[in-house]
Amino acid sequence: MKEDAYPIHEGGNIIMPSETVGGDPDKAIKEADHVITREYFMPAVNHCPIETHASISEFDATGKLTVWTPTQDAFGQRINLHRIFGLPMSKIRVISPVMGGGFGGKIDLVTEPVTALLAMKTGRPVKIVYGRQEEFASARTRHAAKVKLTMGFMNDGTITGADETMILNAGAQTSATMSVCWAAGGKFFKLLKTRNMRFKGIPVYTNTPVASAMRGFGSPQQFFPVSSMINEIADILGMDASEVFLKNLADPYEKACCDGESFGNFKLKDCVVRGKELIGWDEAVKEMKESAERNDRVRIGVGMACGSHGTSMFPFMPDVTGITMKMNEDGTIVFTTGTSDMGNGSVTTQCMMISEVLGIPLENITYIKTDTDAAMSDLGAYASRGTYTSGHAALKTAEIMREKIADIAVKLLEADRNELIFSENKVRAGEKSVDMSQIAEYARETLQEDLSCSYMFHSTEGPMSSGAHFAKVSVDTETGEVKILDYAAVHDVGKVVNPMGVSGQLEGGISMGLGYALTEEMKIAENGRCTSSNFKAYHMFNAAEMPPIKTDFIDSKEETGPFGAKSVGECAVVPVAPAVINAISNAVGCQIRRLPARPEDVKCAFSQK
Amino acid sequence: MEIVKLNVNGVVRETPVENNWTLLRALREGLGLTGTKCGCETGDCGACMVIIDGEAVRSCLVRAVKLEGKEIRTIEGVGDGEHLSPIQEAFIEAGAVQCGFCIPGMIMSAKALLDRNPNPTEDEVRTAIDHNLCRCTGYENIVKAILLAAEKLGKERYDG
Repeated sequence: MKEDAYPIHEGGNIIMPSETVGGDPDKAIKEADHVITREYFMPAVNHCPIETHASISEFDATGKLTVWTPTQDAFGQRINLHRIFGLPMSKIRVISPVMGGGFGGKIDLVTEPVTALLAMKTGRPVKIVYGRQEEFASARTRHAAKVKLTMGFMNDGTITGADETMILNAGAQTSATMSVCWAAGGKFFKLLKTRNMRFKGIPVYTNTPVASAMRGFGSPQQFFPVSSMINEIADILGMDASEVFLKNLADPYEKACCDGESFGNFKLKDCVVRGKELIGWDEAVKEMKESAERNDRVRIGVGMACGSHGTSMFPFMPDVTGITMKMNEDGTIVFTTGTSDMGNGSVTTQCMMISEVLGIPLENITYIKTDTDAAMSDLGAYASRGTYTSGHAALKTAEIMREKIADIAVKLLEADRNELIFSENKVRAGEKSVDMSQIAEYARETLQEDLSCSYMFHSTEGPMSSGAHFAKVSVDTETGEVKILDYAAVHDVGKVVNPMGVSGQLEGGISMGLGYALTEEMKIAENGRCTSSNFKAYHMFNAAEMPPIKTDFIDSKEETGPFGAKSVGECAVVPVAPAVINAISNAVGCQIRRLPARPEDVKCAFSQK
Repeated sequence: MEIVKLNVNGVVRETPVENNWTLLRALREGLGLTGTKCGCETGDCGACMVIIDGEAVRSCLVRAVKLEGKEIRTIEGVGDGEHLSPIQEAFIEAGAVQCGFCIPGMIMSAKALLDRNPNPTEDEVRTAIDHNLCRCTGYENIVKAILLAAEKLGKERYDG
């Protein structure tokens, strides 16, 4: 960024700054009772899917390129391969069979153009599988970020103005950096009631590994500073941190001060109230104060944090998922979906919703997934859009199919359409019922057709999902060793449509966030080379290191979502690091502003208090 | 290349290997047993866990040529070919599987534990899988699955 810095690309190292303003932050900050400015640092981290990047390409005698790759974005990859190689899309087929974890890292083309080119040059199938060291050095990372945040607040804890500058390290190439920058900026305006805010984003090139999408897409870098500063404000004012959060968090249907966009049915305050019960907040705060008063070597700390995240890509891109569906001769269903499933259960959710609408059991529903030749388009498995958009597409397509089934059922049952009930693989009307196999038989024998339909759904809203996390820790003030004694997380995901799936997403997000808080960091040498090369040095949390976790969900309803649902996948990871760091900071009496907080950093913070 | 005789899942099979090949490579490339996954090749992630003479072993850390005469069990040899084992059923029922890539290794660690300790505590379960990394689940449902598997196996022994 300095004037004499070596230019990574022509035109300088600042990619494209962005600025968003709502209200009059300068005036609000000037007139506030208190003003603080702090700097925060978050390192680049790696997605660490246990399956590394891999692809197989084949270029056949007809000139058709087929790429098998575990990708979150088969259709996006096809567009980019089309741009790179100039082949018509009818000559490119991308298939994502199954994926061993993605977390945002398997959106960009990584190995695919290389295997494709080699296949085209050699006429032979070509496979590349990254080793773990290659995964660290040349896959993708979350953006390292340096944030300067100023908040003006009143004696009662009300935050009246906020001004933030975020520098994001893109690494050597742009990738999704501009989108991450805009997304981080957008979310700054979608947590608090504060009406006077400014966000400046400065994405820069450096000679380090390429950063791109990673679970949270700008939200972790946004809400670590914001939640940390709210904790510090509480400390300055001598208030309970949860009270300062509750005073400032937005209410349902709040509109962002920068552009008037609605938050949707935003129930974050309810999450805070429930989370306090789960962690035993008041008791934990008491324990924390007592351990400080006793001047214990091992101090108790309790902290909390909040975060929000969008649901779908609306309104930034056409947020579409297409599905085709047919009924087989025996009344079972097969559908074709463009949706990638990286293990988060998006396609399972589609099956469940189809089952619910048609009354056909899950074991009678099967699918062909993520094949650009077979399926209609899907925007990709990112932006926490799996349940909301892809689920909605499944729901709508099933509703069309239900009407077709109903057309036949009213004839066979001699019943009124509005009497029909779809359940247990049957259509019922009063005492009478007809099996789905009879529906299929009638369609084939009498109408001489397969029941089939297709539908492309597009979102028209993008409601905010949110969560509040709480951590209780013990800190050895002499060694800096931190033990997480208890952890609680409560999210507003709209209606919970798959309880096991949603808690699994949240628990996984927590383990990833704990690494971000305490252990994980891409090590970069002076010359920009990545020196992280194995899991041992990088240190993700293992099963024995995980704290006891309590999770819950606010039973809200998002009326624009399928069955009232919105998102959880990315939001799950967002409040983790600040919750843990706030707990540690409160234990040692000094706010830590740099991730990860290793024992030496914690020890150092205690000595500086 | 040299020929090594490996006793895998109760069947002795010959496969050509290089002297420096790990068991992981011999299983996947020699014997076509791709259920055993490769996540790091440095012994850190446990995706390649197999059972050798009753012990959970990371197959990327042992050389294939050293294993003649040893009893090796892989994920392919956990069920009977037609039915899943109670451990596998428990993993499904508990929602322990997200992307699934770490799961074969998790199940082998779980099996090694439950074979020697049919009634483990939660702490013992967590310790038994502390060489198995999972990035998806936060381990909660995996731990629940192993405790559920212990229950299922106990019931099977009682009934059987």
